[in-house]
Amino acid sequence: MEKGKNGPILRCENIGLRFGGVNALVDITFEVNKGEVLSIIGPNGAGKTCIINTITGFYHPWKGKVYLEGQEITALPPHKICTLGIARTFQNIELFTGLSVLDNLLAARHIYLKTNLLSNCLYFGFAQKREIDERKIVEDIIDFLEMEAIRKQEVKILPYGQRKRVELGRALALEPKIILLDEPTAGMNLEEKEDMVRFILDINEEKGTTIILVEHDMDIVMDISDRIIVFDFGNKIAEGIPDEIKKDQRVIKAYLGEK
Amino acid sequence: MAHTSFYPPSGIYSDSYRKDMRIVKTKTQWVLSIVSLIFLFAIPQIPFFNSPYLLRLLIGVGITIIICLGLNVLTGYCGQLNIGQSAFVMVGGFTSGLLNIHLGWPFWMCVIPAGITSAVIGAIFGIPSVRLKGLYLALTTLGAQIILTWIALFYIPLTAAGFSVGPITIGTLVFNTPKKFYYVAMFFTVMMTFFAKNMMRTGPGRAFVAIRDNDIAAEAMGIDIFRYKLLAFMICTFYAGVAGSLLVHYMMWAHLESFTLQDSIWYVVMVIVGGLGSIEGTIFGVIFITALKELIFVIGPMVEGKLPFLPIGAGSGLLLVIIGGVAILFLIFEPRGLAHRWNLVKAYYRLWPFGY
Repeated sequence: MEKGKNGPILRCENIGLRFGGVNALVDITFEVNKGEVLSIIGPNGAGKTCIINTITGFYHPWKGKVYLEGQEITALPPHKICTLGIARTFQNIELFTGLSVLDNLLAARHIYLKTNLLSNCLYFGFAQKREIDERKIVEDIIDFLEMEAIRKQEVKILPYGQRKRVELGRALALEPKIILLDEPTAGMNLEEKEDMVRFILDINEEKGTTIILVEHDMDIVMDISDRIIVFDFGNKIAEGIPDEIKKDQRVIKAYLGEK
Repeated sequence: MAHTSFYPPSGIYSDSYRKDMRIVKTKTQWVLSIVSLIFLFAIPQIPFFNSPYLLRLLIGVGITIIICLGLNVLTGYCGQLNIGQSAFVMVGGFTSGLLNIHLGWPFWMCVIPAGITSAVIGAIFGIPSVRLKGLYLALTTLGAQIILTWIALFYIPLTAAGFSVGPITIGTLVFNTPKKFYYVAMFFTVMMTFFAKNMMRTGPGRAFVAIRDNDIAAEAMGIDIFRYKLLAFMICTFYAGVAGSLLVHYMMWAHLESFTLQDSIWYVVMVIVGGLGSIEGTIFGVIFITALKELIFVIGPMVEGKLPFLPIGAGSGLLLVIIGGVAILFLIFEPRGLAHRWNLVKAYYRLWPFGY
């Protein structure tokens, strides 16, 4: 099955987002195909994080609609959108710093944990069984991301690169259909970047998860993307496969300026 | 950290997740837990320990632990400051008392309705927590303290004057002395501690800490913040209500003066000193502050006698100065409370003699 030929999973239609008088996003329309790696690039302040925040429900656009598998999700709050199968990571790591790595991942299993408070109080039978089941799923993710050694450490004492990894793990624990990664390799050294890219590709290939990637590292973007969308000042200026984007005059202009 | 003591004693390895998630992991720990439980319930029968003074103190500690457990769930785990806790104790106490004297319900039928009434009113005061954070929310809970006391004082003639309440009974057994009531108090304390610990190490506990540490990420992980903040408020005030019910049946007298703003502040201090976000810490905090209080009650008058130039009442005034000082010192030097010390001791014991 060729990637990206399965039809769209996410569709953004004429998205317009304003802060005061500033147009953060202007008439953005694009589709994300099931199972592809889509990169969103653009200079600083182009609106890349804005589109992620709009899709995940943190910003509500004044115009336009977002559809997930044909269902409109524009006006839903973030926690509802999350349960429909969209997970995200943040540009500046946003972890639950007081919890261990294990508990961070378990906290993300929350939407699957349908126990009532009384059985939680007693911790017998159902609640205990559910906790153990969730633990197994989370341990698989810890295995997958090679975090066994740090699973019981508090997140606040972990170094930056590992925190990024925990954040990816937490997004994976939601078992999403789409993962939105906001600069997953920012501030990493080469080795950490290679690890992270390997994980992203593995997630995409093994689990078939659709990935939307916001990234500044052009080598990574050009290497792993199936398609690329380029933003500049809130406008979509180009869309296409990596080779087309490299040659696109508007993209070169946006990044390098005019002669 | 927050929920399970993850690290077992040296040399003990878990071979299943079930075992790894246990709190009591080894045989020694089992024996120690059971022995201390038996000791706890045997205290009224042991000579020297069973003086009415000590028993009264322990009953007070037990009831306060229930109140502070609720407060720690809300403030320590969920991160929402509440400085009106004793008003919710009052709601529970009055509800239980009124049901007891007007409908003739025995204590065992009153205690759950008392907790639920308190939880409903707590939820109403928790609604502003959707928009308000930190100090602003603290002010609304301070408002709860004032509003609820005011309603009890001016709108309900019965609660304004105070009224007497029947003691707890099972059949012909009447729990009207400290020695007898001790068992009821400890039963509830142990049960409520057990519930709180289990709640906080499973789903709801993690959701609360997630909201405390990072509400934006919590929302992105599918946690309905409003629902869980309200739930935290309800658990907190339910605990307060149950404790209030116990309190009025223990004193056999319900009166506004037992539920002051100063008590609310005490509870916050106890939770901070014990350790925010720790069930064990709550117990340590309550015991520590209660012991300190008693110590000062003994030392205060002695100091006053030795130093005649001090005004009358300086000895008891000393109490507030010292407790305030202790709270400040803890915030500066041990902001994670006694629970953190306890964990350090455990880690030291676990690693001994190779503590590096």
